[in-house]
Amino acid sequence: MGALEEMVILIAAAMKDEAYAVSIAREYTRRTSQEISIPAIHTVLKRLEAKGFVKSSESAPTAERGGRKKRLYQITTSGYSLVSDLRNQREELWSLIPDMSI
Amino acid sequence: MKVSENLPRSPLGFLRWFCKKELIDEIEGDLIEVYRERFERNPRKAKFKLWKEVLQSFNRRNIGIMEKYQNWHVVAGLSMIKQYARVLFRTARKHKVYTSISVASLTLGITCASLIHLYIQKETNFDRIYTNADQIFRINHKSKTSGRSYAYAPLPMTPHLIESSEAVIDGTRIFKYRRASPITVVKSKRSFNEPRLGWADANFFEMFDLPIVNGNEKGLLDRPNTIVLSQTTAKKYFGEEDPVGQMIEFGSAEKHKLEVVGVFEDFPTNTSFQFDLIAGIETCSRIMWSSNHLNSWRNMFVSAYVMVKPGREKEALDQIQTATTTYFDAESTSTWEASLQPLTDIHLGEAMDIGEWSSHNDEETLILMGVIGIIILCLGCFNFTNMITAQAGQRTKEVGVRKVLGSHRRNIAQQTIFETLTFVVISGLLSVLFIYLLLPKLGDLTSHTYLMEEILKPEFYLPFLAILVAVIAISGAYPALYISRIGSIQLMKQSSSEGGSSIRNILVTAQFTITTALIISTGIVYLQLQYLKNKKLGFDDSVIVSMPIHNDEAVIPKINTFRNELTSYAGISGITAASHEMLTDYTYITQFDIEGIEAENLWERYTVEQDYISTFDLEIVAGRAFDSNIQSDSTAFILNESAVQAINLTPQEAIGKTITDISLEKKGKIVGVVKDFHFRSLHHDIAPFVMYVNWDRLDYISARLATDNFQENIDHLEDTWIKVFGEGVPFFFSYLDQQAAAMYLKEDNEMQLFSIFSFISIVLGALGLFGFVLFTTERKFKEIGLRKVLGASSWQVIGLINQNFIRILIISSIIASPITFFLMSKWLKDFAYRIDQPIWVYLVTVLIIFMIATITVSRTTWKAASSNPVDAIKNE
Repeated sequence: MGALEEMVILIAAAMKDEAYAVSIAREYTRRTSQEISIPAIHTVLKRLEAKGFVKSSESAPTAERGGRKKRLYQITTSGYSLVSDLRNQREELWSLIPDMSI
Repeated sequence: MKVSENLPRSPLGFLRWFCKKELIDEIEGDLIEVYRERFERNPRKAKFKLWKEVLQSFNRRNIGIMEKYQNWHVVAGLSMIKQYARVLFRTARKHKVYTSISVASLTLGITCASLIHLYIQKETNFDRIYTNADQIFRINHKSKTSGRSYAYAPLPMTPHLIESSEAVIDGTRIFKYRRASPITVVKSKRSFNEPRLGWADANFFEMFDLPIVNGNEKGLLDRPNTIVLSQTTAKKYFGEEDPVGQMIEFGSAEKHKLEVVGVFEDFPTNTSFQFDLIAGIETCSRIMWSSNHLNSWRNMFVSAYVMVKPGREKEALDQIQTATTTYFDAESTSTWEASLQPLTDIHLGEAMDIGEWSSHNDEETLILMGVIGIIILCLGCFNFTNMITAQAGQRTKEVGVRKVLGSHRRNIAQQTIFETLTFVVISGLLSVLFIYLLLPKLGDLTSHTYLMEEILKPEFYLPFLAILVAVIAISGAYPALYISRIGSIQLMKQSSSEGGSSIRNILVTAQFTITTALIISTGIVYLQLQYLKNKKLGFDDSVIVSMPIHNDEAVIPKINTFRNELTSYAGISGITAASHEMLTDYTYITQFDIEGIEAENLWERYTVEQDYISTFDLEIVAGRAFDSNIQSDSTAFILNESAVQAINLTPQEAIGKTITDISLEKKGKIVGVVKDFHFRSLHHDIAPFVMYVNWDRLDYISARLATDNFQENIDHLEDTWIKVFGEGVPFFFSYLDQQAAAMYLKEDNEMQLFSIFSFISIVLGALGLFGFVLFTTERKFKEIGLRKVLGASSWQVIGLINQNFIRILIISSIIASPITFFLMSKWLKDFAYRIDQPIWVYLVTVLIIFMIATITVSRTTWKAASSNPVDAIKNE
């Protein structure tokens, strides 16, 4: 799993029911202060969905989207266990790193 | 929300077109949402980003075009085309070399032919931009005594015709001063040397309706002391300021104020009139000529144009001839014959001996260019046809299988046509791209400006479309008609087709004949040009600079001071003044009488200062040079050898004879004879030539400079100039050797064009040969294998493959040589001084072609010859 994919899945998980491409892109930009394009997010989300780490559902159409439906993404159980595994791995590694200030 | 109407349509429309149905809502909705957010901040950037994101979304995951058209094939036969396309791509990939050779050749052919076509179009449309171009004629005159033709009419001719002739609608005169004119902008005090200043009648812009961009359309030059400028010149003088109403000054010492009253659009490059400034001819008369000049019939040195009612040219000409006979012959020593030359004929038609100031081109050169263009296009098409048919010949097995599986003959024909069409279209598109990239270069070479729009006109592209249709027909027809007809069993049995090989031989021979001819021609043009550039002119042109002084009465008395100031300076070894600049094409011809000789001698003459001969380092063959210490030399004459020969005297006999310049009424004794030298370009023979010091005008100062510290010498020259003549007389200079080189600009460009063409035809020829040999080798693959098994060596195999193309090369050199010899002799006839065609150029060319051909085919032949015979034989 790439860094961008991990970032996207974490943001999606954190946003609970409000995670869709635009909100994820906004959150990503806010946290990393890097611009990201919507198609890039789309690509990542579709890939994650194909691997079964996220699932999606449609919401009702809204006016600010020109009458188009949103597709909301939610983290699945296998997605959750994957990212928590990743986190555990990292923390193990971190515990081995000596403190730089010494 | 009111923004909803403002959503950009095209990117979203495109998205909706390609996107999979089930993804549209998500993608479009997301894009719209961010677009609106960005729109608040920066609308333009938002739109740009939207486009960018739509294009980013155009990827494999999202595209669903094919599903949309899935059910259409029944209606449109789309699946058949899909199938054709699939076969096409497979064939193209399998025969990469054949495919790229055919597309490259055709592209090259179309590109070159188009560029040549554009150039020819520019040239044949010369002077046709004016609304009434077909009705406008130039009045020419020919002297019955000397046989010389003049592009001039006597000054009162056009007013006389407008008043008295029914057939003539309008007439205008335009005078181009043959030297550059000094112009000063009053406001900024900047000086310019303007070579393209014309003096015309007020109705000039009515007959030649060039758009006026600033100022009144009518009666632009009606008022005295007014001038109009071209857009470029106006910009050069005044920048962004409004030029109308500004003042400029004409002249260097004695300045004449002229008011700018208008700005005309720059003359296009393909018209005879190339002016940057145009002022009234009456103003010119007042400034430069005497008061009654415009009304005097004896003055014939200005071009005149008349607009004649359709169909009444004969009547107009009769009236002109009557006027010439009545008024002009009476004033002249000769009788004159008038003629009318259509405006549109001036550039390509017959050139007058005297008074042509616009660029001239021969119809023959254009025809030659056209032929070369067609040849290159044909070469390209040959290659294309060759490759396509060769490929088709190798695909008989495929066709056989198709037939067995139930393909109709028509399907097979359709498929080959479809393939050819695709390649032709690809080549066409590539050509358009190359034309676009090469237009500026073409502009440099031919001194025209070209616009891409020009190739969008039907008269431009229709001939090409016709040729391409023919190419498709020919290249597609052979496989379509021939192969599709043969029975399927026969097709499958036959390993490859022999069809079309004799045609192929002929095409390749033709290609090499043309290539050989072009390379030889390039060589000869190059040698002739080198010969011209290196030929001794008869004087030392190395470091002479000439400075125009325009017969300025304020400058001439100070020339001696100028000279004396410079004699002590080591970097300058000679200063002299004369009526002419050496090597200019403009000349004065006057009539000379020589004591005891019964002949009318119309000779060139320069009036010079005494040290002219030493400054130019001319060689005296009899008598002596002018000597300022001898009192009587103020009326002395010096002739060149040609003049002495013309009156059947030896140089020694001529010394001491009395000679009179009838036209200028100057009389004196011949004191010397100079060796012939070239005072005009080498296109012309050395004509009889007279120099005398009793000058009537001095237009140029020439100085010989030492080559060491050259820049310093020039600076010193300028400093002294300013010191002696003052700031008011602008200092301009030109190098004589550069001028000598510039005389052959036309030949230089021809040379460049020839090299480009020969290079292209070599490339095309090599490509063709490469494909040809590749094809022969592949066809003989099995034969080679068998021969090797039976004991043939690699070299024998190489000989076997090459014998055919060596035969072709020999035949093509035998055909090309005499044709080229004939054509180049014709070209060389234009030069008074020319080389003999050297045989070695022919031999070297043949050698070069052999080398290129051998290198081209060596890889293929070597691969075939060194291959393992087992590979060939087992491959059944």
